[in-house]
Amino acid sequence: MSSSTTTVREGWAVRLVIALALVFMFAPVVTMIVFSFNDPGGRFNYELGTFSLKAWRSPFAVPQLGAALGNSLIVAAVSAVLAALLGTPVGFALGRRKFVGGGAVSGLTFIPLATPEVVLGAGMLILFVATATIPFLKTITGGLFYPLGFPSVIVAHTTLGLSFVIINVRSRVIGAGVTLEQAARDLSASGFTVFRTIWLPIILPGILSGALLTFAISLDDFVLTNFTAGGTTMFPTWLYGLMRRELPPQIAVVGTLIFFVSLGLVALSAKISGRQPA
Amino acid sequence: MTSTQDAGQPARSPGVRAGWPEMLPTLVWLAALLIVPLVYILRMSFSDDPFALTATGWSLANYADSIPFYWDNLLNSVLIGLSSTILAFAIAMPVAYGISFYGGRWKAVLLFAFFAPFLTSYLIRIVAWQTLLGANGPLFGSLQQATGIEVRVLGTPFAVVAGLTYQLVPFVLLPLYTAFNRVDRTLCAAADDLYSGRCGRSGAILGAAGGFAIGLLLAFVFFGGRGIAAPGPLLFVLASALLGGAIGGTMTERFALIVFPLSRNGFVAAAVLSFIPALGDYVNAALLGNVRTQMLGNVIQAKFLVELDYAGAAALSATLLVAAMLLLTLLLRLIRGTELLDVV
Repeated sequence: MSSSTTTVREGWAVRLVIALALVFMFAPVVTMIVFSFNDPGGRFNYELGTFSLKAWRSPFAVPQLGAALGNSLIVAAVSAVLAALLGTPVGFALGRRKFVGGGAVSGLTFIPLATPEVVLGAGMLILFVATATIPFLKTITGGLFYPLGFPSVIVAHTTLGLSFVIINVRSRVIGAGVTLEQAARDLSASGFTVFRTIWLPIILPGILSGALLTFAISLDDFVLTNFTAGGTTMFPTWLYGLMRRELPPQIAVVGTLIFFVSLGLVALSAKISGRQPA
Repeated sequence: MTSTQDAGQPARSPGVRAGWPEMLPTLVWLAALLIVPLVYILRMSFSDDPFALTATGWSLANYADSIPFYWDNLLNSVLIGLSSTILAFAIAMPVAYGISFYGGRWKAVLLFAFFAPFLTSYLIRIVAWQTLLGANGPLFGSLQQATGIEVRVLGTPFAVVAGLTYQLVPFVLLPLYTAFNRVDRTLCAAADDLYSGRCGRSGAILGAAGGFAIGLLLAFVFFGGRGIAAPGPLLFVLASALLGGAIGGTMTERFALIVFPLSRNGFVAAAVLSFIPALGDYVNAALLGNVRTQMLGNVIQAKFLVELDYAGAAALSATLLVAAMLLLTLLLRLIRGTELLDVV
């Protein structure tokens, strides 16, 4: 609507910038895909050698790659479910009405986004260490979080994902359903009925996209994982260690697989929720 | 990442409970895993036994020992972080504006295209940058074969800034896009009716000044304080000023006088979401840079995970945290706090 009314032409300039920016954004992705078909001839897959399908035929031929990826997928799935369960009530409350203390809750939600991740990871690390060294904390937690492992890394990733669930659910609730709720209450529907029949359908896409985002962030995250996973073999930290010794083309294959599977999942979720992705 | 539909503030609806009981587990969780660790870092930074795993006693030695010693790393964090944030804005601002105003029915697809590369693993994206920027990689390797010119990019500050900028673009793009989308289009139509044009001379002057400042910062980061007085870097600053002037002069008044001022929330949120992660990033510096480009995050992670100097690492973390919080408070002065959640 706007481009037809403008008297000054700027459309071509912004279109050119968008095209160039897309080249910038996809350059690493294209590189990754190309190098998944590469046989570097050495231990490091940084230079183009000869075309090869070898890595695609045996993507999990690198020792521990399968286990690392499996562990990361488990952690991502559990974190996504936990973040959805914990985040939904807060997002719902923040979106439905203003209340005393709402600003503080919003602030709490924003902390993970406004704190350097390395500080967050360091803080969680010393907290988990403290649950083993301070007797009082050790009694409460039962030593669950130290030595570091699945529980600590799941808790860390859930905390990071929570904010995204809260933000997504909140934005679904704002401005929606209030009149429906009042009508239902006038017809003396119970609080639970109102939630199930009116609010749940409204917020479900928000919960799903928040959970999906948590899953993606967890799978992607290096910093928090590095601080909280301890000896557990997680994909990003395992790869970071491996890269010092070798970089087999299988890594590019797995990256390409993750890319296309995630793309499929996003398309699916966009189709389910009927709203635009991202 | 969030709904792009127009979302205002929550309504006041009396008679509806806030829902504290349902929120309680989450609030306890967030307090235990966000507030407690951050406060504990502050406490630990004053601990008097550097190698104890829990805080003991009180001392300022951790700050006195570490900040002067790691001053260069702190400076790297700020300068590299700032350069990457500025470049991410330079890329994301026209893109967000273009998608919002000229995207038409391709809006959702175009926006998503900028997030799609982030569906692969963070580390694998950095590996791809290592590959692309390598001296024998697909770009510079073939350039050398064709022309004989040897280009070294990997292992320089430029590579770190490039990798970090790439990382930040979506975090700038989304808040800006959401904010641009909320700008009332009838105002733009009104401006067009009143023959709004390009910014002309005043825009060119402002743009040239901005381009000069940014060019100076980038030249300082890329070439170092001593290397800046050479023909190459000076030419770079000049080119940056010229480019800024050209952009400022040809920028439409519609963007500069209407869209930009009405999108303040988006700019603040974008600045927070890009500069603060940039300050703490260390993987780009570790994998794309050299010894001299190491940032504060590199030191913090080495102290925590390798040297086990918890108190010293806590002092550096606390410094980073306080810097981030100061910046946040400063930026939040510009908008109301809850509006941040609207544009994320």
